Amino acid sequence: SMARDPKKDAVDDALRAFLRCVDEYQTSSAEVAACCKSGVFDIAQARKNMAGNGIGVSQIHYPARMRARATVDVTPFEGKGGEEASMRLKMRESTILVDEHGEEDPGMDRDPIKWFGVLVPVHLKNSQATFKKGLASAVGAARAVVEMEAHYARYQELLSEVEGDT
Amino acid sequence: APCAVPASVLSSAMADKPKISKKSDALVCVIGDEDTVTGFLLAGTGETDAKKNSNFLAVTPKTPLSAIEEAFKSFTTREDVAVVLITQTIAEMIRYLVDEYTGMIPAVLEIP
Repeated sequence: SMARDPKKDAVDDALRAFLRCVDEYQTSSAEVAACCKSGVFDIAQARKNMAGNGIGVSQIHYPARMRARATVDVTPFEGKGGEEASMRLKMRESTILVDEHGEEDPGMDRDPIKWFGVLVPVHLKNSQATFKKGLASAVGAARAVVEMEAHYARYQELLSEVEGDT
Repeated sequence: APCAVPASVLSSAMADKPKISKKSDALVCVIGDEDTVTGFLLAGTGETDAKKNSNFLAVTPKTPLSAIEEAFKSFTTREDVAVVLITQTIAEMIRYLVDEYTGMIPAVLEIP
């Protein structure tokens, strides 16, 4: 049987890794798309339900100050494809924050759903849950893009070496 | 239909890309229509500081193109940002900027 060429095997491995990332990216992106579609529909339903109370769901209800509860930790590392990064989504629970005058400002860190009133329709709560899932998928898709770039670059580098040898 | 591979993946060499730096509690920025932005803010991504700097832009028909351009440039160059989400309709309006961006972090993701 023919001896295996380790360089050509490395090219195949790099291509397989790249295609695996493409698959992960497409799966995560499709999840984001589905969540956005469903979440936006629920926001429209909530807006319709709240219209009778004279309350809307729009950016005029956003507070002047807000603090992100969903953040991402990025950790670079040397992977098989070269420089890659892990991205971890963190959800922070409410904390009492102080403003620039040293006074407590619980308003800055409220659950965003409370911007739209105390009693909000179930559609708005559904939308919040859906967009949280969409956010997790979006971070997954972003991580897959970073990995994809590393593996594609590695694949091209190895392919050039093999083509240079022939 | 499967989502296309971002052009930035195939277009530029790794040697041209800046190294990835470690980030803690980095933000997710959003540029999109009002409902999409509201949705992601409900999910907890929103941050507005004392100087009124926000990590989101809710685009309406009255939003000037320059504001969208400024937001994209700002979000993709901030040190405290990990991901920029931009709806495809808005991305088309500034396609020249989106395609020009080849950075790895912040990662730019187009959403429907």
